Amino acid sequence: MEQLGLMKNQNRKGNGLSLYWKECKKVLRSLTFLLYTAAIVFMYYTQFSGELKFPEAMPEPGLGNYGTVAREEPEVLVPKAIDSLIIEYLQNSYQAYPLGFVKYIHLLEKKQQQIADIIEEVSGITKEQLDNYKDFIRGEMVIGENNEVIYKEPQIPQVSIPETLTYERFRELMREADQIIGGGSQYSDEFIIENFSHVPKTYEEALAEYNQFINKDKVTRAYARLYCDYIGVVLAILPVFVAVSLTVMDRRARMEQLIRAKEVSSAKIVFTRYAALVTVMFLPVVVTAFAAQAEIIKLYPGKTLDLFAFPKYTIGCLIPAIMISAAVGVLVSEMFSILPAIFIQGAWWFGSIFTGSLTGKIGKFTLVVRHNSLYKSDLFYENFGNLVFNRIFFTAVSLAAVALAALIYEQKRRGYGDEIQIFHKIGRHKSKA
Amino acid sequence: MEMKFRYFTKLAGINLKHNFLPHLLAALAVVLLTPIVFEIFSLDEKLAAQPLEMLLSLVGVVLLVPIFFPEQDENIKDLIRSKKTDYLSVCILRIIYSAFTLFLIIGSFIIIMAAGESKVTIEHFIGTAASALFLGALGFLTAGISGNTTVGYMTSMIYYIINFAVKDKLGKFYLFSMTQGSFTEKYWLLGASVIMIITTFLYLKIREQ
Repeated sequence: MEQLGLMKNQNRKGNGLSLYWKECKKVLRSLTFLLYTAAIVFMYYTQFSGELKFPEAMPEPGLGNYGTVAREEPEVLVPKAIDSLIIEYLQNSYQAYPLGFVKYIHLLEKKQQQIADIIEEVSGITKEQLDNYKDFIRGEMVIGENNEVIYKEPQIPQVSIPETLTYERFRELMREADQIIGGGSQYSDEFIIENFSHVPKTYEEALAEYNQFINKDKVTRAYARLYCDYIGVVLAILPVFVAVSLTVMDRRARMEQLIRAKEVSSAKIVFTRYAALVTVMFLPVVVTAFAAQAEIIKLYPGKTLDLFAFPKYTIGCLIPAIMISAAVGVLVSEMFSILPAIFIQGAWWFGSIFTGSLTGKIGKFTLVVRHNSLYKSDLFYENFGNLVFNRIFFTAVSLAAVALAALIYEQKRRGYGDEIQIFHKIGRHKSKA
Repeated sequence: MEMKFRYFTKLAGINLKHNFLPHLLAALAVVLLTPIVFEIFSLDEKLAAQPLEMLLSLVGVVLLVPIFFPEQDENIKDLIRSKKTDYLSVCILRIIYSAFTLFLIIGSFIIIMAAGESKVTIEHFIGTAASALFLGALGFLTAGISGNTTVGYMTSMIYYIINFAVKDKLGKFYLFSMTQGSFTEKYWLLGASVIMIITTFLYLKIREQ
């Protein structure tokens, strides 16, 4: 009897594994997976591989130009911020990021008056002078006669910063201006330094940055972060298509009725399929990450590299991205239909891409996690706690979503729940045509 | 003749009621999302092109890609095969009202922008419609040939992402050219859209035979 029980168990294990392989093969053979792989390869070659052409050079002393860095320097910041405020006042169009998206705010007369008062205090230019200024040019790139791109310098009234104006008072006024605009403007504490205080990097700063890249990041960690940044953008959306196409394939092959009748638990079917989706979709990531690591080893002979950086970053950052996008596909297509699944993930992805910061700021609940630089690792490590929370959170949410999908699936197998497929049902009415 | 017209009007009515509604709602959601994501009032010509090309053009995907969606269900496909109405005629009917709705949505949106003192012109309408049609037609073509609407959505979405990734390196097929101040790409996009739609129908016609 005991032996019989063991055989039955082994048989079940065998069934589970064979179901897993079957699902893996289905994903591998699907057209959506082919497109998914093509998109990853495309992102790799067009976005990331450019970084692998040359090794990062150690800065040499006496070059004079090491790029720029955002650092709070009042003598740089103040005149630039004043110029910008005048330009935006004259256009009555204030750039701001109130919800994370860029917006151009148009102010009513009363608020324009308040901005004019601030301009007068920081520049000595009155509202009357501003409103009667006729030679205004906002400063923009224009195409020249020989099709060359020329920068047309801005033309605004002469600014004369009062000697009595302290830097503290200036920042206070900028905060006021930000409030009048509605928050998230260029003059907010969040953006003012980044926008108006870019100063040339010193040799020492450039060298410190390079040393951090070599010693702290061990080269590969920096590249792995950048790789995850580029590939993560597509992984936050494309898995939903692969996941829902599996549902479509089953419906088309009329597998649903067949699977529903079989004596395999719903949880096992749904989780096996989900596991197959995630593992197969991770394969192109493994291949391209391996190719990247091989290139980096060739680029940096003699340097100490962290050879586990790519496995660590891809597993930690990208698997949760695949998991959440695929989970939305599995749950929503089970609950409703494929269309809302694609739409929900698309809208979420879109919102995340347009609100997220390119480098550094990683939110606890940001779908697309970005760090679009080989450097600025201090910023990355500052946000590392958020990143860990974020990825664990999305992994947990994904598993919960798949468990819910399994529950719905179970209801359907028992004969309930088909009615919740709203869109699918609408499709069925088509028969009237 | 009148009988036929009446029949197609009835057919269009049934399709609009039962097949088109969810897609129309999704399109309206994109429309509502646009002013949340982008500023749409008091913009100059280049800035006004941004919300139109970068977000509103997705309405083309939402409306044109799912033309074959109802028949994705094999049971419905079987039923369609047994009906006397030519399946392709139904699809042509669907694409006509979908394209009409697309133009209506883009036109209305541009009128609202103009009322909000944005400098929009007829070029904004044609340019946005061209980008939206191209994105939609690309998905329509791949959905039609593969017989899988998901593939259609995915192709359109990948092409949309590629436009952000490689930008004007796409040359004549760059979707966001008005944002860069160029309009000539729009003629290519329009031409390619028409070719893709015709190719899809020809392919389906040949496959049916």
